[in-house]
Amino acid sequence: MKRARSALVVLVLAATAGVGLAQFSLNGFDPFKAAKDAGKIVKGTAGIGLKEESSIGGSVAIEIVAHFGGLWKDAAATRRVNLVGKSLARYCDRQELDFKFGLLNSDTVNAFSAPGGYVFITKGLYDLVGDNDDELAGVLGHEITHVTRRHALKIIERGELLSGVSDLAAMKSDDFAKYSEAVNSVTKTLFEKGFDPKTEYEADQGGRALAAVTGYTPGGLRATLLMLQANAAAGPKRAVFSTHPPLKERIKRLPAE
Amino acid sequence: MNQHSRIWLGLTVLLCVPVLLAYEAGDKAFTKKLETALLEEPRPLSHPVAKIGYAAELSVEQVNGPWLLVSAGESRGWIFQGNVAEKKPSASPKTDFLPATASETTASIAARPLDEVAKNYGDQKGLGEAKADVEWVEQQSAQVNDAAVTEYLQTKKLGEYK
Repeated sequence: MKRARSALVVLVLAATAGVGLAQFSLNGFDPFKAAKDAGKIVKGTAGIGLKEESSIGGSVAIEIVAHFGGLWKDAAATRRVNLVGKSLARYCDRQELDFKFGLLNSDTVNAFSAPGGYVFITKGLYDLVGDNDDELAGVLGHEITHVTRRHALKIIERGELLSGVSDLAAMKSDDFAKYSEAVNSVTKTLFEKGFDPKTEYEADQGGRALAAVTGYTPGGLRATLLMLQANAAAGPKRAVFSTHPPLKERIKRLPAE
Repeated sequence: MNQHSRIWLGLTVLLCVPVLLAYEAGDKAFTKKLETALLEEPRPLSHPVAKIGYAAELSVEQVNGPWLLVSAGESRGWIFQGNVAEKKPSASPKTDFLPATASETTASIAARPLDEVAKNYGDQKGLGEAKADVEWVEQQSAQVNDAAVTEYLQTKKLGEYK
């Protein structure tokens, strides 16, 4: 059986990211002491190890929450999202990950994920799916797939930033700046350009498969995309989740059942 | 859409369909949990007859709905298809999992609170409020532990409890 991957979204204007970087300074703080204490954090040159993934993911998660102005701290809704999300995660391919699911206090319709297992959906998207667990599972499965397939990390791994992130192990003095640059590469890329269509289709298929093996209706994601398509007239603010690639193409590639 | 586009779209859909296809006898599969039980019968609360470690190759001998009869060396038993992967997983069982206490078919996943590096990232960038929010998510998420998920799956008749 196939499965899922990952997801994430981030949204930081390039200018904002630049300012953020400029504000960074070590100030005597060794940001990777914990990583050092934990032992080796880099998985050779083959890619980013789990420790680094968790660090980068946590930082990206903070950026996501900050961008949306905070959480919708509804304990019952958050528990429901975690129950559905963790049910899916139980059968995903990367069992070493600890998934966490939160709700962003925004009326826009969007979903995001960060490396290491952070998944967020907006209140707008949560309201859109209502009490339909199949549709919620479809959305969360898509985001989980982005994470398990390391889609966001590949942005770093295929660029020059990998060496910077890998330098964490060497505890160089400029590591934190490079680390911040790596985080921003993820947030900037995902918020401004989104994943490429092939990656999104992969997340759609993986999310659908994960929902199915967990026992949810396979068509949940497609139903959500159809709702988004129907709501497209409401304006771009409510259609962010469908920005990349076009909804029409994503729906066509997902079987009706 | 022209005919060429339609053909490519059709091929793409066909290629995507196998994503939901089950395993077949003769296929290979891999365990993906730290420890996975092979069961005597194809049902969730069946007696475990063997326990298999992480990333072990399994040979699929028989398929019964979402359940697979598999063998690994001398071990043979049933496993829910959601508990196996098509590709060999690449995590390090020694460092990427906590020394979890394994249960029937599910090994506990290592709980990982917000990383210290990420916390300091938030502080350094003046995102303390967002950092606190992420920690709130961590706390809420931690309350939905493995037992709660199992109970949810059983109640909703999902996964291997379907």
